[in-house]
Amino acid sequence: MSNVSLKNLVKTYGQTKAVDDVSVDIEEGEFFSLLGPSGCGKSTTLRMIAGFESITSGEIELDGQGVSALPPEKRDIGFVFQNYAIFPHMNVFENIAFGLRLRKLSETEIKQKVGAALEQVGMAGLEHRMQREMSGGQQQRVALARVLVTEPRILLLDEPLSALDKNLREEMKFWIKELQANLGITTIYVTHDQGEALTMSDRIAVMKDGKIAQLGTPREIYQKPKDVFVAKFIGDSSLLEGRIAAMADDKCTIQIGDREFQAAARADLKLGDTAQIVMRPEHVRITTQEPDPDWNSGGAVVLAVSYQGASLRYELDFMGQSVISESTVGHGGPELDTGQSVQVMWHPAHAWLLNTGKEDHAG
Amino acid sequence: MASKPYSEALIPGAFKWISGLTLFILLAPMVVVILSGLNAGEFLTFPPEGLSLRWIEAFFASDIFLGAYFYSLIIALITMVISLILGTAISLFLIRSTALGRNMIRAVVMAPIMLPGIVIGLALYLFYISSDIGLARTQAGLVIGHVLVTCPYVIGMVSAALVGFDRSLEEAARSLGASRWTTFRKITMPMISPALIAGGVFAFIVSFGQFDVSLFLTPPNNTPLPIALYSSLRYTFEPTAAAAGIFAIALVVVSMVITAKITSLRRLTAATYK
Repeated sequence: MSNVSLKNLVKTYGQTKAVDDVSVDIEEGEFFSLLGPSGCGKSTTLRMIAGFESITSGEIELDGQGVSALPPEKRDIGFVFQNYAIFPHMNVFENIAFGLRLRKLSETEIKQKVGAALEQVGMAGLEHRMQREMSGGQQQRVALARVLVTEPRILLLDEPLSALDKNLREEMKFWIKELQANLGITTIYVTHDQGEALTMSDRIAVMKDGKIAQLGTPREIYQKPKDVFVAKFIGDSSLLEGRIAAMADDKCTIQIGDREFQAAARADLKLGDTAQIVMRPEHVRITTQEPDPDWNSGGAVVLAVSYQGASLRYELDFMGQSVISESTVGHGGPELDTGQSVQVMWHPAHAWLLNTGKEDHAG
Repeated sequence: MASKPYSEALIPGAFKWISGLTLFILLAPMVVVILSGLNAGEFLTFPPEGLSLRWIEAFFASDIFLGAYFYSLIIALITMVISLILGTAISLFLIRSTALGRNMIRAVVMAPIMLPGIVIGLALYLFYISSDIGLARTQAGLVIGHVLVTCPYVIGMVSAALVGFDRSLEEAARSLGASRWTTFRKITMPMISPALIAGGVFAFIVSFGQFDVSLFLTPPNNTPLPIALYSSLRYTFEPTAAAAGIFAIALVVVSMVITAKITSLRRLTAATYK
């Protein structure tokens, strides 16, 4: 168990900056995710921590000690690959014993440790399987066992679930999280799947173009995205652009066209700034009755309805802008048809504001 | 007939005929050599005048041929080992380095496979003589010539295996605590072993049958088999040469069969085991 410190980490390939001045402190025992679209630098960051990529500038510290001069084998880091990287010419036992043999453990110790590791990942009795005889989920478990048996200081996971089918992915998500929590091992998890990051992480760094766009807990990132990119990347959201018309201590008024809406105030917003209201689909309600006067509301037209199994998703035209609403099926809400006129409403507490007056975060 | 594999049914009939003809043309000379070696007559004639083992016995009794046979064997083994080491190292560089000029280096190291052997032999000989580095007509000089022409086969095979190699396997080994060298020994080498075996056999066979390059570089006291056969046939026309040919063919066939047992072409192209 260790803490990890990234200090002004930079990686350039020719003219391109793959990782651009990334600094973050990861606590001991933390489950930390690097989340972002492909090409955002998250994998490169992870590979630099592992020592597979050299650092252009900056420093990586494990327990306060710089490791950038150390080769991967001296860093004592466990790395799980997207394709699991199970050695195809060795069976499960030999795969897991690989790191132990390098550490010159006795044969009895190796047997005992490999056995325990297999038990831990629920693969006991499959010692003699070869890579080609295992499913993706089983390979994943072997890859984890192979890493954990060497008791690494930190665990690095590079999109470990992306090659699995959906059901297995859900199962493995909770399994990995539970395993990590039980071991208390500092873990850095790279993913492009916001669902995985939100479920598993203690903290998330959302990355874009080699930089950290936002750093925070899953709740902070989801409920209080810092910019349009984060708002759009993490979950679905509807964005309404307007201008700050009035400011009070804890709330402010946004003017869109000739209508005014209430939202929670934000310290960095001033009167007259342009801002976007971010609304999550589950916070946008649709009604055919008179809306609650304490809520923001307005008339809208249903553009599309899609059935998602457990929920219904509506795409609405609200003052010429697109708004998405999602509601759980069977909660007595109205079943609506395309083209129908309705009222949409949302509570001011669920209207998060983004300042778009100063910076250009279009994307 | 009814259970022909679907893929075979897709091959046009003409191709099968052409393949058959090619195979015949390639194999016919070997049959001639084998039958000539078993000739009962005094001279190298075809068809043989009856069959006997007298020339086989003569081969075993002949210091020149038996000596040449083993000399070729030793040269081929040394060449194979050096070509494997050198060829693998060059392949690793060519496939994995991003250094400028690697395409030119590839062209240079692969060139001996395309140049006439006689040109390489002559060039090396002139170089040895004129530079006076003591390699002219020595065993080392001969081996260098052989390595030059066999290395491209190893490079071709090993490069093909390395192109599809999943490097995360090596990275996994590294982060589990293996040094570069240990990783190569325990992960890379076992996984490209089919290519190493195939490349090694090619190098061995090409060296063993090498005539053109050897012609200029052969040391005065030792003669490789192809040169010995050639010298012998220039002055006499006795079937011992053909008998030696039988053993040369046997050696190649045996090494091919052993390789086929150890590896297969399918695994050769699927070094990633996917």
